[in-house]
Amino acid sequence: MRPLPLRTRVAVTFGALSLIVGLAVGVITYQLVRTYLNDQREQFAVSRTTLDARVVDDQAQTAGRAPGDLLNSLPSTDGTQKLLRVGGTWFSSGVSVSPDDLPTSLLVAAGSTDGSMQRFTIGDSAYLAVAVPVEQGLYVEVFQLIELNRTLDLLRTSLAGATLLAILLAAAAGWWAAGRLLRPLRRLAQSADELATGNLTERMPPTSDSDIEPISTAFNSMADSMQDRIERERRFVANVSHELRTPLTVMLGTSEILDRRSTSLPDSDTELLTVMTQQVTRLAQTVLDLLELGTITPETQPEWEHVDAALVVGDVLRHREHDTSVMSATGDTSVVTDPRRLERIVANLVDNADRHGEGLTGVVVERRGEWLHICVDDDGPGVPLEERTSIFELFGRGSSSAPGTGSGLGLAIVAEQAELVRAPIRISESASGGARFEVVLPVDPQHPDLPREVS
Amino acid sequence: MFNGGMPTTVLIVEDDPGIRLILRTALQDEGFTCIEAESGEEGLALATTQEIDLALVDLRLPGIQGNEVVRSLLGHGPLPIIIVTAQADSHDVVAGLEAGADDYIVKPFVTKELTARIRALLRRAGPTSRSDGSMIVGDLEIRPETAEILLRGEHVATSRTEFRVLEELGNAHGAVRSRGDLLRSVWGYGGVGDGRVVDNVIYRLRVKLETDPANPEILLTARGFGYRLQP
Repeated sequence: MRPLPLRTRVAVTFGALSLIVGLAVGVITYQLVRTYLNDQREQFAVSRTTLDARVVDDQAQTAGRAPGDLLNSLPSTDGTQKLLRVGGTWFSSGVSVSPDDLPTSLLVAAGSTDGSMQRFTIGDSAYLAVAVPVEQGLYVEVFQLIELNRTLDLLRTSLAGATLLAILLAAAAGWWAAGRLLRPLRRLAQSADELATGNLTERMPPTSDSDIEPISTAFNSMADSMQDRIERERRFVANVSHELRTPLTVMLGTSEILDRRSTSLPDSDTELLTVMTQQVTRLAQTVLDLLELGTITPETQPEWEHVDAALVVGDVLRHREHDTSVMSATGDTSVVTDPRRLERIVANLVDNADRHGEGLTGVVVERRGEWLHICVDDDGPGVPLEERTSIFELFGRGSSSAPGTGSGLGLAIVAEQAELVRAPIRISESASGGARFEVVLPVDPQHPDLPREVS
Repeated sequence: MFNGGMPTTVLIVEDDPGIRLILRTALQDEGFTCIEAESGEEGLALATTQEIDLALVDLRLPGIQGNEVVRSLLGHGPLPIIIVTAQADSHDVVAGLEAGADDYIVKPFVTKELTARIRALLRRAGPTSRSDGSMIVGDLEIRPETAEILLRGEHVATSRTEFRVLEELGNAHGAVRSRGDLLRSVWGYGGVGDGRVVDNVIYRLRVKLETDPANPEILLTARGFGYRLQP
């Protein structure tokens, strides 16, 4: 599984930390407040009940009132119910709690000591009861706890809400902070991309941030030395090219002119001249191929144009003094491609068929869906399966290739150029048992999602 | 190669003695007369004193550079020029074409190919065999008999290559001609050729014909296809 992105991880960590802190603070606060409020409530209840019990005793002794009247004469408190047990009979100031609802443990405990206190619930309502023995029997006051519980509920909800809010804020802060930190990195990636696509003058902008500054300085000095090296290499190649091409031109020209005048040479010299002409031509081809291989760099872009591929193939055949009737074209043969690259591919495949395949037997240009297939057939022994990849390598030759022919670079150039115009190449068998080199040109190579090749 | 009875004179501006020898021998074998210059300065001096029909200029020269030589040669009047370069992909080629050269050839070349290019260029320079009268396309009038271009009745000076490109586009009656078509019919290329040669002639024509060469209204580009004249 892929790890989560850095930014998400920072946000989650911030959120989790905030959750832990928020929970701890919340739980402790809640417990403290609850204990304090309960204590307050109980102290109030006990002192109130004790006070009232004393009034009950006084009233009974001095005024001799009946127990029912006694309860009514007590100062009334909101939501508080007063009960008095005389012998086995209960007197009550209200009806919300019946004497039977009172917990037995409270009554038992009150009888043996000088008072007791207990919480209990009836249905959903919570109560606090305080029992104090009086001379006539037992005096009980029941306090409602609804208010207290409501307050505690509110507190709990507020604390939970605050914690949740804190988590969200912390996660957002983490997300934002990580984004800020990543911004220079993104800028760096953008610059590196620019460099990779050949824009050698791309640099990181100057920054006053002392944390970022070393990164951009390091990147810029790397780009400087890269640009310097590439430009030196280019100058070197240009110089090598110039220095090689000038003597080659003289040599080719000399042998060509001598060849035209060969009738005036003795026979033995004619033979020497023929050998020299062949070798000079081969040398020139090898040098040109090598120089050409050096020209395709990652930043080389094809020059797309609308071209009739059949026309290009026809030109190549005519230039090599082949009869154009060896070509058969079916369907719409116009494509968008780089015509100079296509010409090189076809020319090299035709030369390959002539040099290593015992002669070209046919060229098929055929439109199939979004692809244009160009098949170059020869009459040679074919290419064994295990050589169908290595034959495209630099100086790669088929096992059946005659020594002393070609530079061994022609098919490597084909592979390079074909990749540039996004055309896969396949080798199969021709109808006569020779080799078939098939170039599959996309009709629209600039289409964002190039359709999958159909065979 | 004879031009009205007189042999065609080719000026060779090339610093390498070996290449000069080859060019001279190959051209003399084909019947041309050659004048040789070792540097751009010498070539320009010769051009002022002698009648020249065509110039071959190497791009890398000691002293003033090939493209400057091309510019100066054309300053004296129209002259078909082929530049010779060791690198087809260098900026030098573009600079040479922008300076006004009609074509270029890359070392090492086969002399047969060079003489074929020279012939194609001289054919353009000679009178056209067509006698289908003048053609009017939009604001342009193309007169094949006199190799003249009139823009809204005003004479426009063009090189023969420029004229031939306009004539080809005029013959298409507003239809698009691809760079390959033009290279075949005007330059006489057998293969695919280099579209930059065409682009440069179009650029030079736009400077001469358009009010705003960056927003052409006469000589239009059909992106990815080629060029056409606004009828």
